[in-house]
Amino acid sequence: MKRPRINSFFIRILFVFFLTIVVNIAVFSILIRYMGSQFINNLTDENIQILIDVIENSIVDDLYLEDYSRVENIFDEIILKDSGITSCKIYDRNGVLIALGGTDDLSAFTYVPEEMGLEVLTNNSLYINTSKDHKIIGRKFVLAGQILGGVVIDFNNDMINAQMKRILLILAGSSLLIILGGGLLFSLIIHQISYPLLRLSRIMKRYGEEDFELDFTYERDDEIKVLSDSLKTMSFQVKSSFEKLRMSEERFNLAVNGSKDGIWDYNPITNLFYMSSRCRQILGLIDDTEMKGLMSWIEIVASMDKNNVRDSLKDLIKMKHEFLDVEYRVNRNDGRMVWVRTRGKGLYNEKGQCIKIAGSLSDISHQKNNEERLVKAALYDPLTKLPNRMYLLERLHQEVETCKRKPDQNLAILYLDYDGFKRVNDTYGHAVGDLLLKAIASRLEKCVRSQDMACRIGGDEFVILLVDCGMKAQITEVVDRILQASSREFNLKDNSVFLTVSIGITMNQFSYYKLEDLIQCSDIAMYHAKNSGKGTYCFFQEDMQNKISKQWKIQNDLHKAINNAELFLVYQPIISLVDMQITGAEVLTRWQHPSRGLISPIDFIPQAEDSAFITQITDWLLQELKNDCSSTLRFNENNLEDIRISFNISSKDFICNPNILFRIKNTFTECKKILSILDIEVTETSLIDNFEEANLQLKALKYLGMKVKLDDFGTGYSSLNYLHSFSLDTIKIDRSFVCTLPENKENLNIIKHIIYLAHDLGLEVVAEGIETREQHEALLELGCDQGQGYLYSHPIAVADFYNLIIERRKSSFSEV
Amino acid sequence: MGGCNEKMPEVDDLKKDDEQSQDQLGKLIPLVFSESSNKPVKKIERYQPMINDLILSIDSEFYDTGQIRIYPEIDPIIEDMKENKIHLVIDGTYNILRIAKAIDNEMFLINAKDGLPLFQSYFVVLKDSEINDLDDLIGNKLALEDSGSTSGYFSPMVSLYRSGLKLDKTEPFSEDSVALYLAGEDELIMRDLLNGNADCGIIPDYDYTELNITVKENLKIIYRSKFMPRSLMLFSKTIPGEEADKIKNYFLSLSDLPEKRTLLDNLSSSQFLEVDEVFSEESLKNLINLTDKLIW
Repeated sequence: MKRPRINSFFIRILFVFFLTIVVNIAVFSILIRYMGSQFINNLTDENIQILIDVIENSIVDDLYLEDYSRVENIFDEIILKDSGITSCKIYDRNGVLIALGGTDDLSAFTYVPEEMGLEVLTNNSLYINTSKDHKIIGRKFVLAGQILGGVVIDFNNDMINAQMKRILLILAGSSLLIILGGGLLFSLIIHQISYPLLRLSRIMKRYGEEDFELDFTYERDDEIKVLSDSLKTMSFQVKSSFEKLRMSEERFNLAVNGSKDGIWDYNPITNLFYMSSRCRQILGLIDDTEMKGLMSWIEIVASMDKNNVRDSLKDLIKMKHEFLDVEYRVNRNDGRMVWVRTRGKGLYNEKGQCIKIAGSLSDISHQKNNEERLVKAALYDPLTKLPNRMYLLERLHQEVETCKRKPDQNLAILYLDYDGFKRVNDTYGHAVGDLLLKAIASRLEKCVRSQDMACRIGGDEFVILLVDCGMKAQITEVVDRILQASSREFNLKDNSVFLTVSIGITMNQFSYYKLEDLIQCSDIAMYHAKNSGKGTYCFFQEDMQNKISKQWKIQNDLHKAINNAELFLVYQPIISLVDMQITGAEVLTRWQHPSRGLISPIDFIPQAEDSAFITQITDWLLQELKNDCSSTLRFNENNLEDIRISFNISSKDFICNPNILFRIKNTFTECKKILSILDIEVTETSLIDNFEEANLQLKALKYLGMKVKLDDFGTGYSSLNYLHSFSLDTIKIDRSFVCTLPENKENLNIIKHIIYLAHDLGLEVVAEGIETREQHEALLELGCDQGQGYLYSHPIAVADFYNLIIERRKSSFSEV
Repeated sequence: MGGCNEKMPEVDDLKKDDEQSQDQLGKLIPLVFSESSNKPVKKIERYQPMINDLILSIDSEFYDTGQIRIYPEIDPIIEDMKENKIHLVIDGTYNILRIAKAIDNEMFLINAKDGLPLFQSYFVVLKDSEINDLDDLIGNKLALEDSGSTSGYFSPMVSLYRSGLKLDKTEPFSEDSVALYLAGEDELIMRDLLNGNADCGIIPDYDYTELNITVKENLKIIYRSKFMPRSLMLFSKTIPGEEADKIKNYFLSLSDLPEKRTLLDNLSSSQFLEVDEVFSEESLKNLINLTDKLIW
């Protein structure tokens, strides 16, 4: 048999019941003991007063009418026995005793002396405690100011004491009966309550152990029945909900385990985290103790992402955002860094206070790596691994914005062009060229700080971004390091290469807002550096910019020039030095600007080349040339087949645009014969820089019937080795050699050898820039074939050229 | 009865009496109002406010206070009135007429007790009784109330006296007379009638209306007495004429003053009336003359 549980509801209530009863009885007994006597005394006094009232009301009429015969009958109507009254004496208006009542003990009458009657009639009220055991109370009866009589009552206190004892005994007995009976009854009632409750609790305990097959039967129709039915209803609902929950949990577990995401929730009020095992696995957490509150989470976030994560969480908690979606890096305990994406949603109470955040956590390291690769592919040069132009522009944008906010910070853009790289490529092949580029990149990275950025923006052109770089002195130090590093020997597959680099530098103090402008300024400065002697540097200056502005203006106007017929051709005759006959002419393009006047090709052709407008100019030139040849010169009709017309074609258009052949061919489709009198002039540099492509183009031109002149010979590489490699017909000695003749013996000697070699290779020689008779004579003596220059004629219009030819021929005939 | 003054004592006599009284006392005397009752305390408590108000209202030259004096029976009242110890007395008509006869004074006011200035007594028998009128009472037993009652004794006795029937008060009753006996109380009359102890009973009209309908259905009224005042107030002839008029007017005006309605209620009266307003002084005088003849 089980021992009763001390803490049971039944025992406790029973104990409280008995305790309450006992305490109540004890208190009540004490009250009776100490206050009951006084209470009963007062009660007795009141009773006596009431008794006197009754007596008065009963006899006052008789007293008034002095009919005393009926007064004594009052004691037949009023019971004095056992009331504690030992005697009751009624007096007439003269104080004469007229009635007597009381106990049978006549001796008791002695307590009230006879003279008490007169005494009571002379006093309004009478209260005399004659002894410890007795008290005497009296009252006179008065009607309309007339004394009718009085009454004196003797009361014995023994009666009170006896009654008190009797009350106490009755109380004690009653209390005992109450305790026993009440306790028994109460026990039964409590048992009726506690037993079903215990049974229900056992059922619910089993229910809590997920035993749903329970018997909630309860026979009696009372509150327990209501409770039992409610529990039964609840149990069905809970069972149903449990089933749904279990199924939901299964689905949830399947989903969670099936997915690669972790699940977490966080209570901002308690600062407690829950994380699924997958979540912990992603974060590299070993046990539960490692994640205590929000700060624990923030702690494992990589330092560069902490603020982002903290701000995102704050925004969610403060309801600024409804959802959390943040990607960041986490430093795992094993030393690995992983990329994670945390998504979540906040739950808020009616006050808008965030009470819970729950969400998922994904390992996006793989995705991030892919993104990184894509970013690198998009933003980095695959060969050198340096950032490319796109990245440069993006970074430049950021840095310029920073400089705008912080005027004390300077930004420098270094534009690097390696002199002679193409030669290395051509000489050793592209593989070596690529190795060189990698080596250059490596050296450049070592020359700059981590916050700076070295980029390759194409070919052998590099840009270095120096952020917060200080003033020119500091920049110059970096530039010197670069120059020094670049000048050291490059060992590439057993090949030693020496390079120089030209560096243009732009600082951010200029008010250029287009990023491209800043780079272009550096480029301009780089060209200045290159022009001022390779292997050096140049800071961009405002006049350079003015020049650029001027060039931009030219570029803009150039687009309108063709349509507005502002361009035109002039012909500078080429003379046979021997007989002074016109052998041909070089066609030159001129631009009659509406506001600036005549603009030299030197000023607008480079701009046209930079803006790719050169193609349109070339096409225009070909078209004009065709028109001139067909309509003005009319070679066939005028018997001018021996006159050769040479025209210049931009190296960029010639080399870089493979369509040039088709464009020429198409232009002269209807008059192919014209092609046979056309000479194309190309520069030495354009040929050498693009040797193979250029040679192929030249051969194709010759196939069309054209001849090729090498223009400005002597200003470039002047490699005689090339002369036989290319399909050339004529070389034109640059005016820089001619202008010093005949005094400059060195140039004279060079020209002599050029002419000798050219003739040896079967090439004709044309000297440019002949302006004096002495120059003419010197060149003639050296064996130069033809010449052109102001000595013979300025460039002239086609009609003038035609007239000049006719005129010369006539004079020649006349001489003959 | 021509008016109060005609019946009032001579002025000189009154003044003499009052002067005597005042001389004897050396000061103003109290005006004493009395009634017969075995519940004096209750009467005193109820009447005292009225008599106090009366004194204040009449602004008397003779009376400074008012006093109530209740007597257990009529005879002491008669004695005290004769000795000028009582100035006003109110009571049932029979008692007042007896006092008036004794002191030879006929200055009255009718007291409309419980709202009824006059009443009549019914002679009632059981419904199946063969008694149908007063004459049929001969040889039968008639229950009266008590010898001091106006409605239960005096009124029916006046009727019987005027009918000329022979009355017999002592047993054995003669068969040629109407046997009379005093039942003591109203309830006992009806009890005796219903249980056959009496052949006929007397019940005033105001009590008859209060009877249970079932009881009424078993009863038959064989005779209704002539109307008679229920209660009268008698003035002592020692009251000076002007004072008597003041007092009389005071009582006559009580019913017109709402603030004094309580005083009337304490007298169990709805109003006081001059005798001729509802009755006649002549009839009242005749009744006074009968009082001696009809004493039990």
